[in-house]
Amino acid sequence: MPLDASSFIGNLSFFAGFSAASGKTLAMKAALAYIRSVGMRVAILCAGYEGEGKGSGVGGTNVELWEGEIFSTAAGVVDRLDCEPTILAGALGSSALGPIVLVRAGRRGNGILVGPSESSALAALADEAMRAQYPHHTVLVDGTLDRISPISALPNAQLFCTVRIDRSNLLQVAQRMADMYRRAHLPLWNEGVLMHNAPIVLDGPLSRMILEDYAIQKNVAFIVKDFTHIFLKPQEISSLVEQNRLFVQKEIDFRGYIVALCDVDEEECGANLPAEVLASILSWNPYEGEEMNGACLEGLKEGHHA
Amino acid sequence: MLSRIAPLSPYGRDHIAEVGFITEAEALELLYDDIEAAGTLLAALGDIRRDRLFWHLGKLPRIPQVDDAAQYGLLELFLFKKFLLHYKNICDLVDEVSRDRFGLAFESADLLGMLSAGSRDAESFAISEGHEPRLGAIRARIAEADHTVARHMQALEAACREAYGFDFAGREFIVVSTDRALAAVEKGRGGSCPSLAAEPYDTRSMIVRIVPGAALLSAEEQRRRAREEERILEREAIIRLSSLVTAASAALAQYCSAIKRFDYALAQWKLTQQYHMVRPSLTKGAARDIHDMEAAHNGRAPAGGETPHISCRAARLIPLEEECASRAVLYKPLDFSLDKPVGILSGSNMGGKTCVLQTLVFLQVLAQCGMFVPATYFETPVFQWIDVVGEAGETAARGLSAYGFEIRRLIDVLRAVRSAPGLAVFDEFAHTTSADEAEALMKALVEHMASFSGTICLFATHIQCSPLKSKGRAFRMAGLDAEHARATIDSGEANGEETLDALLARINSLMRYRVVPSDESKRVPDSDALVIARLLGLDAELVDRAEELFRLRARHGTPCKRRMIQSGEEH
Repeated sequence: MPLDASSFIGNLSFFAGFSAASGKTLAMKAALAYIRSVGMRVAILCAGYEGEGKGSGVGGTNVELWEGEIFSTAAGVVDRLDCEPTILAGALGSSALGPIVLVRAGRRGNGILVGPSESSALAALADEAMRAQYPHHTVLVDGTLDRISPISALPNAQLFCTVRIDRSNLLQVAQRMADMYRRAHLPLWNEGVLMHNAPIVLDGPLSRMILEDYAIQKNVAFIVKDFTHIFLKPQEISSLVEQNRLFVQKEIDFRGYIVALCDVDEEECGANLPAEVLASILSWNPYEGEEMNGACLEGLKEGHHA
Repeated sequence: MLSRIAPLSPYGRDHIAEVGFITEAEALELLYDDIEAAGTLLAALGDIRRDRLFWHLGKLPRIPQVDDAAQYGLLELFLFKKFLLHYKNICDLVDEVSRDRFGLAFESADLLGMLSAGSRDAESFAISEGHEPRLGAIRARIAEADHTVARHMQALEAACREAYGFDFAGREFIVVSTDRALAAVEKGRGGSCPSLAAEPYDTRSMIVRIVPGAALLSAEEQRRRAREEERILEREAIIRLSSLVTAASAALAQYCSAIKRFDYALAQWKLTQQYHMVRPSLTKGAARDIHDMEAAHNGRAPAGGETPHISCRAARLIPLEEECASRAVLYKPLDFSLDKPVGILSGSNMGGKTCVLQTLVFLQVLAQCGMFVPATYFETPVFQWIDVVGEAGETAARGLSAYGFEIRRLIDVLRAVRSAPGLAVFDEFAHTTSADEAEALMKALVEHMASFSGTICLFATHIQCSPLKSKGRAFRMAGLDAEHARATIDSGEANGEETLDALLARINSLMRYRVVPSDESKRVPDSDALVIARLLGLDAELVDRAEELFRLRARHGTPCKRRMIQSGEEH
């Protein structure tokens, strides 16, 4: 299903990517434009903030806000914002730029997106944002760098994964897309699953070290909270899944990929992806101005299935 | 138990970190009164008002430290407003008695009114025209400029759609093929269509943006200038509001203090309800204030004064009660009373001696931390100290044997007992040394401790010991139900092949966990320890032989048991 306003309205959407500059913020801004185009308002949050990395002297993502929109920012920058900010909640976690606050824009103007690094604070922020929009909420969360784990703390969030593909990273990114797709579709645990041995229910992450700790218990299955708690290589995950030994307690609603192609055409990219991964691509470029894009994508998917 | 107290506000939570051992009866009674007052208030409030009270407490934020030089920002002012709003609602909900008791007075209506001026809703905060009336005109100019900018942008996007077929749809830029981008840029240069700017995206496409026209740039510049004026006025308003907050610093400090006490008392009351706790009854005079004692101090605390008295009914050691519940084992609360300075508790292994001591210490510590206790009744003095000797877990680290560590701890206790009345608890004292020496040391210690007024000493021991009748009482655990234990053994059920939980459950079902006066007991069982060993599945031949030897020695009067002769007074 291609991207449009209905993809986001009424939902909490989390944008994640495999790396920096994968197009998370641009995709989120494109979503913002879709939502505004149908006259709706939105809450925009951020996990961490842009420029958080080592040696960075600046921070925050600039975003243009419309009247009534809600966003997260740092207390230290609120009085510099020209959107007539009203503080709705705070302090909800912290950042290097100061405590995080939830703000409503009183008019059109610029905002600086800053969010908490801690997942629990992000969840509290999302909760306040939804409360402030009651009874109908639309929340967009700009993830930071390659961290997907914050989505685990967000209630009923849908995940959009952004990737930027060029000729140099095509094969590598295609593999990562397939891997992510597999992780996002791990079998859900239920009591009806028959096991020879009692499964291991993990509160924390499933890592290689954990696998080795339980190596003596042959064929034991592992149940993790959700796929963001798995830190294994793709081959290790495949092996566990094939042996019916890996389950998740909670499914994360993976909506699909938002791709930005650079010097690579759709056919070439699609040829490197499994059919189900190709089918999960929602957009080849949310900033594409060519009218043929949507039709091209649908045609490509049909060809692949055939 | 402290971790189970759950105040709702950050100030109530601060109080938990300050909980300590209190040695003044008046201070303890005040804390108990607070808990009862909280309970009375909650009972009178009714469900709806009680929920509202808890909601407001939960919404109270921690406010910044107020000092004269402080210059607050929007967040700080938001926090002050939010605090005052919820604090006022809390004051409105509680009755006059509670307001007086906890100091819940609200005298900052003006400040709250100023902070709330022009707000769209109760809790949020923004600098509004209510704070600075001149903002109205400036904000109207900004709104007009915004309208102009939006109108121009819409017109430009529409013109782009028509002239180039580009649908920006609110996006900052679009990506189109290089050919189309260049053609559109060229066409825009003609002046009849919107101007566009393009830059390479990749080898076949370009990023295209709309170049704003002069009218749009002019509107943006007007907005920027108005915004600068607005910023200055907002700053002035913030400074004025900050000075109002600073002027209210004393009142704010008082509010925080009152909330701290009130919220903590409410949380304590909820805890007492959850664990069925009662207010301790503090006996007066037995354990006096340390400073009174020092006045009379002469190497030993003075004899005389009122006899200390500890008494409890249905007392529960909560962690043990919970562990029993998790193992599906019946937990038996403790009834105990001691009206002499020394209490000696004997009994078989696994009979519950240590749990009795732990329960009494648990209750005493809770009581002297200003908390109610899990029992139906608890009467006790206020001690100046509590010391427990019997756990030697740190001996290796200290380079001492278990015995050496115990003696060092005993020296500490004796030092304390000379300076002030306290509660000294000895669990299996000297059990690691030889029987005869342990017996002698135990006797001397009991005699010594009995000579101090105000202090209570509790001993759990296998050594049979009768203190001076005027100074102490001997108790024992009721121990195994011999008849049922024998029946169980004869049935062959106790073969030691069960799980540890099952074995413990069996012993628990056969053990009578209650304290009885030693002199009222009919007969000391031959050896519960050997029966327990059998119940746990120890080899039958080995236990048979041990019982044979035990009976032989008892018949011949060999000092197999550690027996202490009665003290000189009874001779």
